[in-house]
Amino acid sequence: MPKRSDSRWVDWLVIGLVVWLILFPVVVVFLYAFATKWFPSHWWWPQEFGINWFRKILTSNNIVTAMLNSYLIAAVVTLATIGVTFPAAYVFGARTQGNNGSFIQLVEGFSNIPLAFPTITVGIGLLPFYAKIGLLSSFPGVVLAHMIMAVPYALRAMVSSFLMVPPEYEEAARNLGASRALILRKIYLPLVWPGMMAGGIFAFSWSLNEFVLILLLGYPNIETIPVQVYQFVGGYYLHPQQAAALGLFLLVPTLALMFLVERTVKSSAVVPAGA
Amino acid sequence: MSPRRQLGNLLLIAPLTIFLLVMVMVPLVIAMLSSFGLTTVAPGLPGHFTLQGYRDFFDPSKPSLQALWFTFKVTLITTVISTSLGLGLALFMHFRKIRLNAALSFLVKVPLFMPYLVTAFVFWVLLYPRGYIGIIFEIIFVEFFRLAEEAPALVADPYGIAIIVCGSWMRFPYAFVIIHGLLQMLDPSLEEAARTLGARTGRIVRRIHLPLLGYGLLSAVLLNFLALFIAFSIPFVLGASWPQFLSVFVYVNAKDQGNWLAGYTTSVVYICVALAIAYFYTRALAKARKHA
Repeated sequence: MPKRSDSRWVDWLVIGLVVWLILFPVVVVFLYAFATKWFPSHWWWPQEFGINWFRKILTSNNIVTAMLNSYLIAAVVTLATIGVTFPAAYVFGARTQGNNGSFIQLVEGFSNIPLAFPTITVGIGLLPFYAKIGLLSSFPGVVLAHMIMAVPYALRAMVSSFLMVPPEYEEAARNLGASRALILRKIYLPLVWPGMMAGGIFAFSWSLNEFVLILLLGYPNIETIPVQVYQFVGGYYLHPQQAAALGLFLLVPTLALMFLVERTVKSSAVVPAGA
Repeated sequence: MSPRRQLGNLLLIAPLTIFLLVMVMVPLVIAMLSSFGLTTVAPGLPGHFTLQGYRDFFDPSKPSLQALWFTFKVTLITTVISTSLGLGLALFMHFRKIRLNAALSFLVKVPLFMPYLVTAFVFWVLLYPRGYIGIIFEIIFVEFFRLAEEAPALVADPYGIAIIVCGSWMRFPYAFVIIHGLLQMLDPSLEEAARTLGARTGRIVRRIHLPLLGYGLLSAVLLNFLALFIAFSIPFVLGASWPQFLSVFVYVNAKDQGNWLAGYTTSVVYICVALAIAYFYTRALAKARKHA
């Protein structure tokens, strides 16, 4: 088709434009984070690059604590989410289960409900409850709150993996007298690990980036990176460069983990909602 | 299934069930009861049945309906823009037979995976008067075309421009990924037959692609709408002090102003609307699967 090869440049132009449209905001975060001199008269490009802003944020005790909080909370949320969702995903997803009872179907349906909820509404419902039972501004309280949104994502990823395991494996093991715990450990665990990893990564990245629940239920005792980023752009002290440098501690791990999910699970079954 | 196995299943889902009951049901029940004034869990709640919160919410002279309308309007515009961009790109790649390789496939999804607060921040620095888009906007509209004395605010503006721009950027890849996937599944002979009969591209899109994409396209539209409708970080950072997005309105009422009755009432209305959208989304998704 000569017309197609002649107008190949149109394809490149459009794809280039789309790539630029997607990458430009990401590049801007890096520019702000590494620009140490940027005069208003030369607004299109910084005049000097360096790591001053990183040095500055890494010498602030508050910010370092916020970083440690963020990564620690995200790690605990991931482990707890996998612990809660793995056995349930087996019941919901394994093809040997046949027709689950109506109660189990109800729990499965209800587990997806938080995905459609505005997080703020769950947060203000939890606030008086937490105050009553002493979980307000506490580490366990924040972990549990983050799990509300992490659980449905992890569950969906894991159920998809359980669905792909042929039922004959479990049936053969059962005929040989294996207990259910042994079947879960020796048969399912090695086969569903990509889904488990994807679920864990979603839980980790959700928790790492979560903002409103920390603001409502954790602040001021527990601060995380998103709260600190907000202080630099929406608080009383505006500083886009430090916000960008700090934002990279969220952006880089999140994109790296999502790249890993893309490589591990060839599915876009789990797409984050909310913003 | 044997009773022992059933009991085993119930034990396996027990941690999840307890978690959902305590962490999802309890706050929902608290919000629901408090919206009718039936609890005293927060200051200002009367502890007896009242419809005052709902009367205030639906009173046109009060700000709540304005916040709901503003949220709807901004979300709708964002959904239209993001879906149109996604549809346009998917159709372009389909007609030009451009293959989506692994690198491009990941690249297109980058906005979906961006941390919300970092995305809100980057659009704040792009759109504020000293940001790239802010400066270019001023050069074009004020200095070159002289359409105004000074450039209108693009961030924290009363029209929600920054929220629309940021939301469209974040959500257009989702529409693209869904529509691109659906286009791959269409029978190519339909398009070939139409071309043989002399149909132009526009007519093929209108008469073949759009009707066949139907419910799949609708599910993408509804999920994009829902995703922004329940958003907090983006309107919180980029929105104006008034009109407010509904999520920000709930936060400001409850946390900043201590008006918990309004906060809980707005929350319940918010949840009902979000669940209604989610219900239509699941129905559209089920129909899309049935038609696939």
